Amino acid sequence: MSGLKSAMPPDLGVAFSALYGRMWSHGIVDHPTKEVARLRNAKETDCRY
Amino acid sequence: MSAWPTTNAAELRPELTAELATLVAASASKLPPRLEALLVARFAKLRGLDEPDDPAGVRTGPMTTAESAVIDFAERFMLDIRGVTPAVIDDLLLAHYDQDTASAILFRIALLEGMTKFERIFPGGSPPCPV
Repeated sequence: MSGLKSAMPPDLGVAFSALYGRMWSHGIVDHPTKEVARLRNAKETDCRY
Repeated sequence: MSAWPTTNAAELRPELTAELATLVAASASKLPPRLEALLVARFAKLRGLDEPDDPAGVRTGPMTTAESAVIDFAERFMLDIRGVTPAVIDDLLLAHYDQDTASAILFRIALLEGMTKFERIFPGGSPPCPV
């Protein structure tokens, strides 16, 4: 296991959450499509999230 | 002829512009300026984009061992993400930078990796969301 404790500094986490929330709650792409894209990306990158 | 409009991502999705610009600026500000400049230039080159001008010569001169390690890491991140193991993070980032700086570098690299993809597919680039 890496010694890196966090991949995201706390202050950037606030900014990232703002963007992430906006991306999910706004725009013309429906939620199922966004979810499919998210899952596909996670599979490609072995992302546990 | 491509069906893509000759605009940029920010113009197509203005509802995301403010938050994205804030995140990019905050991320970039956490790195040493020269390292930030080196990373941006490196990603531009890897993506086949025009490297940003450097009138102040920030990127001039040989890289330090730490800077070279970060560039090495960035290239691995972009070209072989599955090869970026915990040991690689330790060897290339934590060996040279403290926790906060290393995590900021990692986050910045992740943002650059994604945003340069945007620039690659939009002929107009992504202003006003700077890479």
